[in-house]
Amino acid sequence: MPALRVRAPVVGAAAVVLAAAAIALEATTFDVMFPTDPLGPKAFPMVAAFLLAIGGLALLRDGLRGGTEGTAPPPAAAPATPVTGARTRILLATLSFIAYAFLLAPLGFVFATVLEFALLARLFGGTLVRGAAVGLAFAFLLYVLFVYGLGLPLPLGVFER
Amino acid sequence: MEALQHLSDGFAVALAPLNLSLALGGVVVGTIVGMLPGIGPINAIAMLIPLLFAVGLPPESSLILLAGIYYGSQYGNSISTILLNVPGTASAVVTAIDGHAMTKAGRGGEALALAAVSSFVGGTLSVLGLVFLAPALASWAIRFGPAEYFALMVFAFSALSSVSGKSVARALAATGLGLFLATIGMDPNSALPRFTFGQLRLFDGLDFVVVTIGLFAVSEVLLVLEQTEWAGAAASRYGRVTVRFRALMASGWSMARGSVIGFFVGVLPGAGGTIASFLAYSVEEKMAGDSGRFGDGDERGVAGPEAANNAAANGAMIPLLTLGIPGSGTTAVLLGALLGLGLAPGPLLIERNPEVFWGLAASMYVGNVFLLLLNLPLVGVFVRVLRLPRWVLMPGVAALSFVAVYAVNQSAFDLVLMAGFGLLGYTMRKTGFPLAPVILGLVLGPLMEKNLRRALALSGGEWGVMFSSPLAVALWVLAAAALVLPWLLNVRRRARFRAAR
Repeated sequence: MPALRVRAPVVGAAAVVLAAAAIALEATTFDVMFPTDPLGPKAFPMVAAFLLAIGGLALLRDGLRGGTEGTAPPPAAAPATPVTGARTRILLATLSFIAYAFLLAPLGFVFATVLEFALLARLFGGTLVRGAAVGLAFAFLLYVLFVYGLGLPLPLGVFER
Repeated sequence: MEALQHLSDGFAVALAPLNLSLALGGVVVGTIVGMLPGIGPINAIAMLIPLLFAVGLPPESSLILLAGIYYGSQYGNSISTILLNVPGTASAVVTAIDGHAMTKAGRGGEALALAAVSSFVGGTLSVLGLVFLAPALASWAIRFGPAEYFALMVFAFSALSSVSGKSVARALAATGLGLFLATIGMDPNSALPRFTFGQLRLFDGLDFVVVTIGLFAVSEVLLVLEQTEWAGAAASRYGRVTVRFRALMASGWSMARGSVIGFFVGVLPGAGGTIASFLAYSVEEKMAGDSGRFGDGDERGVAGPEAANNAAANGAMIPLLTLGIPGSGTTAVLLGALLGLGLAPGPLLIERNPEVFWGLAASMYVGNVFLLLLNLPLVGVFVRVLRLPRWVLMPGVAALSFVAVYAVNQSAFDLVLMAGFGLLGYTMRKTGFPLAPVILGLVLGPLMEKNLRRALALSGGEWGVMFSSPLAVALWVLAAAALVLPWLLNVRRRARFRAAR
């Protein structure tokens, strides 16, 4: 996908500029004035939007010019050889994080964590069964530590009577 | 001599059984997270914060634990660097050159022992610097008004932007993002909700623990998903972890130089362990001249940088504690923890909470002794952690992230936020955006806005107040210089490059 590769930095930079514009636009509605606070709540978000805009515009300029020094990500951030299917795995993992958030209360901490652990273990090249086994031990340990050791509540979910 | 009196009071705090065991726990956790590539001290500290709040430890004990993780990680990072050529954190990258070369020559154990001793020298010498410099800086900073504080924070940001990435534009955008995230929630002055989109859950603002764990830990899990190579695969034989007395003596001056360089670089905002260790390495290389075997397993190439990155970690505690200004991602997370514990780091901290400052300083001595004692005989145990397969380690990191984030507010909404920030952090890393300015912006943003508004309230809206004192002007000049200088150097380098062609 050579076309996409050229445009990706431009799209990203444009997104940064758009975000800055949206923030600034929203900030213009913060119209409260106190005599003791001449600056008001508007100014600081504007500063943030300004920094985003400057950075975004500079990147946009570099991106449109194409291939200047500033555009290429620094080598330190360059990933090791990506594996095929990496994008799918990242998508799956992110979705599973969100699913975990919604399943935590109904399923309970231990059950939800075992499921998530098994799935992630699979994505990281382990097997579902071994992942579930390690996950069970780990989740149990965390549950005991948090609920009994630290007094922090974790949902019991399906084990609740 | 007053300092020594205070320090002995500090030892009374540090040697209390609870604090002693927390220092030990902190440095062990620090060694492990420093060693594991990717899982740095930022993640460990962020994950522990909600637990510390829940347990209700006294502030000095919490700080002893968290700081232990921070400086302990500077010991641990050398282990994976030397044995596997995989730096645990960026500040150990340069140690790899000669450290791993020593391993390949069958002298890995020697390199490990040397790194531990150098870290100890850097760690303890710099605590000495902390004890003497911090009170002086605090009594000087007591004159800072809101305008000076604001300028100082701008300086911290521009210094971080100029060193944290190759691209100043990306660093500026990342800073803007952090400052924007800080404004989400109810404005403390006017009670106006900002960027909450009517969501009651956002009225209190974003919790920085949620954002930090998302940006750093979760994004790390995603990042590792696409890598094929894993450090756990092979740990080479390293032999006995001892170093001959003569070799230690030979690199003694390297350690001393590294400590001094590291300490002063660490005090500067933005710089920190990575720059300190690179600087120390190049100094050692120059000093050695023809006698050096740098790149080929020269001891001085391990001793200098390892002393420097430890000294830098301790030096960075000075602006954090006496000015309330962190200069890096890790110290920003520490500041967030301190604020959450109800401590306000700043010029008055040493006076008002002597047990916190002197207790911490004393515990840093103790912690460094622990680290030296642990690192020499127990390297084998730590290496075994490196051998954990990643299908155990990375889901474990994810599970720890979930419980830590859930513990903040017992809220599933926070978990969704965390996942979102994880994806954002992953995207930012892939496209070369630095993450540290985001955290710095999130933690410093509210303080910055407060000081700016206070300064302008005092002056009745007159902007001249921001430049009314010589000190403020000097800080503004420094901030501008930090931002413009790398750009100028870059332009000059490019011009020379063109001329050469």
